[in-house]
Amino acid sequence: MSLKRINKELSDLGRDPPSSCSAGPVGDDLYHWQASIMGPPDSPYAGGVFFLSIHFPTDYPFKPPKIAFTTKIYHPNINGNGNICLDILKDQWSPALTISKVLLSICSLLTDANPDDPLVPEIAHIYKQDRKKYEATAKEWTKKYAV
Amino acid sequence: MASQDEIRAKRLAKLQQHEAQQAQKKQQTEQELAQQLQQAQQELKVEQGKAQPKEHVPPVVSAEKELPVVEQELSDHTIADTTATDPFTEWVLTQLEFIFQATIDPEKNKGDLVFLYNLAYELQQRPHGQITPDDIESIFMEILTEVGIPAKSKSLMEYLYLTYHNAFRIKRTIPLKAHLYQEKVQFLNQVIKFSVSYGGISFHVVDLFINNDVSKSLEFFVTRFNDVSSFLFDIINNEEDEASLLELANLIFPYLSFKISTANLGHSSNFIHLLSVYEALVSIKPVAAIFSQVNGFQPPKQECLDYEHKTLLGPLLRISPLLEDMAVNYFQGVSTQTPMQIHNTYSSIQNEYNVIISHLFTIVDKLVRGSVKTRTDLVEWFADLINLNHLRRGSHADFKKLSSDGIMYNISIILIKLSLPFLNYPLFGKIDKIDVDYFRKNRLLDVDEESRVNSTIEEVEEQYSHEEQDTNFISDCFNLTLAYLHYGIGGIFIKYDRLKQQIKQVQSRIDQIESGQTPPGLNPMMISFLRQELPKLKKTIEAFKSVKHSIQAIFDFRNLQLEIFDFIIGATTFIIRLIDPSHSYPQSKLSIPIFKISKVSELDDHDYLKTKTPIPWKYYPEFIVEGIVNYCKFSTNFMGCPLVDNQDKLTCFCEFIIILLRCPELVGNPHLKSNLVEILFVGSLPIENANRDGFMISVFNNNKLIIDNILYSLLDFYVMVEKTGASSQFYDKFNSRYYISVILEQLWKNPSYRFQLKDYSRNNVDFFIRFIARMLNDTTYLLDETFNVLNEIHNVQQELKKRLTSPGDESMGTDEELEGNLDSLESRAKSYMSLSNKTMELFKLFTKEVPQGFMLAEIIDRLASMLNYNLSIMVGPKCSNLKVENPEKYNFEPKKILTLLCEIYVNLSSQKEFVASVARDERSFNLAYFEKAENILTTKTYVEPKTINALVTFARAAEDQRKLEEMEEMEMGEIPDEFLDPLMFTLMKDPVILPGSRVSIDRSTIKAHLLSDSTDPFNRMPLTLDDVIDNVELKQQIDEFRQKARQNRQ
Repeated sequence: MSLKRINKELSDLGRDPPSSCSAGPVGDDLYHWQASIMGPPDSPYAGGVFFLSIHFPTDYPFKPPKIAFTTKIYHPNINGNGNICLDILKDQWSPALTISKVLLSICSLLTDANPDDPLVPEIAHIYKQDRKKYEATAKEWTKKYAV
Repeated sequence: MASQDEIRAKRLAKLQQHEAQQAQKKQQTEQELAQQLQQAQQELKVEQGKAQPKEHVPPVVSAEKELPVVEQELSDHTIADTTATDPFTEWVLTQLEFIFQATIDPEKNKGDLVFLYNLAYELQQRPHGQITPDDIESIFMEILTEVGIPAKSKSLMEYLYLTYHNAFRIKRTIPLKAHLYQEKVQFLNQVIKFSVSYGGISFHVVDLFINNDVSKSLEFFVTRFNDVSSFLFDIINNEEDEASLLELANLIFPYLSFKISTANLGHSSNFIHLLSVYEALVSIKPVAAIFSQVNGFQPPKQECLDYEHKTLLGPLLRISPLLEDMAVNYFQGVSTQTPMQIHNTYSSIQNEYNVIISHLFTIVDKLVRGSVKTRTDLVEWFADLINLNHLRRGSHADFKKLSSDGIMYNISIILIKLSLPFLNYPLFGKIDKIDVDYFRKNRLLDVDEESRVNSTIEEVEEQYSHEEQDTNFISDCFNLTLAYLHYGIGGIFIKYDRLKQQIKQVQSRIDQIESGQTPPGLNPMMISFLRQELPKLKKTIEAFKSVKHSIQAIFDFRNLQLEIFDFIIGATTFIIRLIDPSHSYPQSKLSIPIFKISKVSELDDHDYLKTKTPIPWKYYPEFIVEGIVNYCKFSTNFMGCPLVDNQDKLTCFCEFIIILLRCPELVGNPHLKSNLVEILFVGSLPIENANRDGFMISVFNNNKLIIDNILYSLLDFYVMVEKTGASSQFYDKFNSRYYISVILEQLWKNPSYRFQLKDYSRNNVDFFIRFIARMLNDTTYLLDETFNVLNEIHNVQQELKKRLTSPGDESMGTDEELEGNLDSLESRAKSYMSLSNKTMELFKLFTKEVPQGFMLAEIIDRLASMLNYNLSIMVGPKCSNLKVENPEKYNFEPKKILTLLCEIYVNLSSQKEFVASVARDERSFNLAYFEKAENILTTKTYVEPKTINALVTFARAAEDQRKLEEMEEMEMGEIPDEFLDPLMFTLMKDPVILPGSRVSIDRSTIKAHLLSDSTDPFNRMPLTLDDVIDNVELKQQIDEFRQKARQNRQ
């Protein structure tokens, strides 16, 4: 029931692509996409390219898409499995949101982490206590996994 | 309270008086003493009229029995005195030796007897050397202040007790017909009287007597209490006013409490005796009356540990097997004990605890009855202590800084025992004595920060003036008990869970060290350092285990748990009475729902519901219910659980739960409701070993209130739990829904519940759909997650396998990372799998019962897509991605899931709309999948051929429909953008305008959205279906467009 909606999103992305991200289906499965995000220049992820997998549940767009990083990333709201702690991907989802908007939100999460609602408390702790160390590690991981 | 200075001044005055007397002539002293004596005699007469301690009236039988012995003793001492001719004097001189161990015979001035010079001299001066009862005073004075007590007596008090005791013995042996009976008895009574009064004086004016030592006196009384208690009681009863009684109490009680606080709690004999002394003393009403004024009643500082260690009552009230010291003693070598040994220890703990708590209860009970002042102060003491202990319910509680479980549990039990008389089941005759406005009138319990049943703290402040009013003891006691139940006993639950964790952690450290598996990177010195830790770790784990066992022993102790539950039933009855608009429960039944909603959407409007919450219940602190609920939840883990085999009271309790769940206006907090549901869940779980229904099932099948309301309550809460307001709400709901599914599964065995569901699906469609939509969301989400996780497990397992023989894909991480990842994936798979299995089963039950109930435009397409998608995952081209090693580890049974899917399809297959919507699903519908499923189900499961055939027939029908629709669509051609639904991008059929965002959208789309989110998707403003406006113009245009397309086709 969501085929038309997903097709529409895909064509919109092709017509008017966002500056720092891209997304599209993997192979011929329209419900399984891959996306990429460029590390924001004002963040320790600058210079890296991060890949994400997108899966549309059958009740999309009434329920949020499932999005996870496939590139390892050091971030308080993203865990080792690539899961993202972002409210619009859980209970703040709205069917009026699109993949494009969600990807932009993820970009801004990379610039401004939310250490008060962390998925990885250890990273959140370092983020709060020792910002320099956090930035150094994030840069190191970016270099190692995302360049 | 009399100040220390006052007491000191008084003592000083007495002393000065005494010195002045010494300085004056002896005659004068005698005069004075004679006056005192007279006074004393009068008092004695008065007192004899009153109730006397037992020994004053010796039973005749025992007197006769003792007679021969005493006669023998007397004859030993009877020595003819040549100077005394008067028979009375002669008798007295004999008694002087026996009772006082004194003599006036110079020849006997050796050995054990003391020689009384003054008396001897005095008698010589008298014409006939006659002795009179008036001389007793001077005999005492001479011994106590001049010559000193005989060497045989170890202390002054022991000597005074001897004179007292001996006088009684003689008195008992004098036959009524004896010569000079009156005089002799009078003489002996005087001795008794003076023994008592000097006993008292020795405490007040310490320096008056030779070798007087108060601490020796106290020790004497305490160690020989069973023999000498009546003497002490006489001393206490002899105190002339409250001030001097208080002075005495200020010596005795701090001493006793100190003894108890320093006693070794390892052996009960060390403290049980002290407790019985305490109990006997506070049983004297005047003592209980002034108890709260005794030094040390209040702590030096308002701190938890000061209450426990630096007050009179603290050291007593904390004695409990729950204290680590005691627990460790009970369970020495617990790690190597057999279950039988441990079980036996449980029994002895329970017996001993019974003794402890009955002493402690009597002590508090006597104090409460002592005087209004003691009672008020004690209630305040209890309240202050629990107010300091709110952190015991905090998840990061530092138990070392808070009151111990010992004192908390004991006070809770004592308060429960005090409360039970006014909560007597089943009539609850005195329940109306509990003030319903307690928290408005009384500030004893600190509830300022407490969350309220269904109002904010600000609202409470607005409502409640700060003006305090009097409340009765029953109300104090009742509410204190509830506070102790929550913060006191409730803290033990947190401790228990923490202990389980700690034991696990320490054990794994021990195992690690013992097996030599030290973390990599340690040098030999660090390893040997770790080894040295071992004994300490073992001691720690013993202590943890002991305390855990003690908690278990206490909660296995059914008699006491039954009392706690009796209180709980009283409390729930009070709450229902409070809620009851007529306030007449339990005399008359409460009919629910109390407030009747006019439309289903009101169920989700919390602000509206809050306006319907009864007052003052609305403003009650939530812990009132929380304590009850937490206790019941915790107790179900133990043998002593009072909910089991306690049918009548369990019924009351279940009614209480259902009332709170059924009336949406009563409780605002979803967590609290979730806990209520969890208890119903535990009660529904079949008892596997015994092949029996859960312990609540018979209540669910027999009680009218429950039969009529439980299903509605559960279906309502299934929806409500979606928004708990916590950051974890997205995951929280699954637990509660799992519980509800289990309960429903059990209820399903009863046809009346199935009938009710049918009724809802027909006659309360909005309510039914509200629930169905949530169930559908969950099934979709959970199956999706489960399969994703299985997929990931598959990938990780494949990668690990590959690495055994060749280099793997480095981007997936190191071997350790993969293993760690696998661990966390496996635990997620396990929980998702059990959740999705449960929802699928619920789906099966419901679609079987009411298939037509699912045929609503806003859900049917989602339902069809969900089923088709999951079928494609199970049997489609990618099904091998689900192949994992040991699927049973996560309860993953592919055949079972396939069977469930098939049954759900077949349950719905009779509905025409369902066929159409399955066919409409462009994403996953594929006839080939159904054919593959047919093959698997036929060859590998026991599903009936009839069912399998129905599935295939259904699938073929859907395929035909699909082809038809495909053609129609093709003919439609290009659709103008403004006719497309803004969310689904399909041609709208029934466009409506959303009032806030002014967006036009198809009615079915907005309906589907509103099922799980009551906001406008374009601006997140609140929205209900009633608010949308028909877009008549647009509808007309679309209809024309369709018409044209159809004409073209034809």
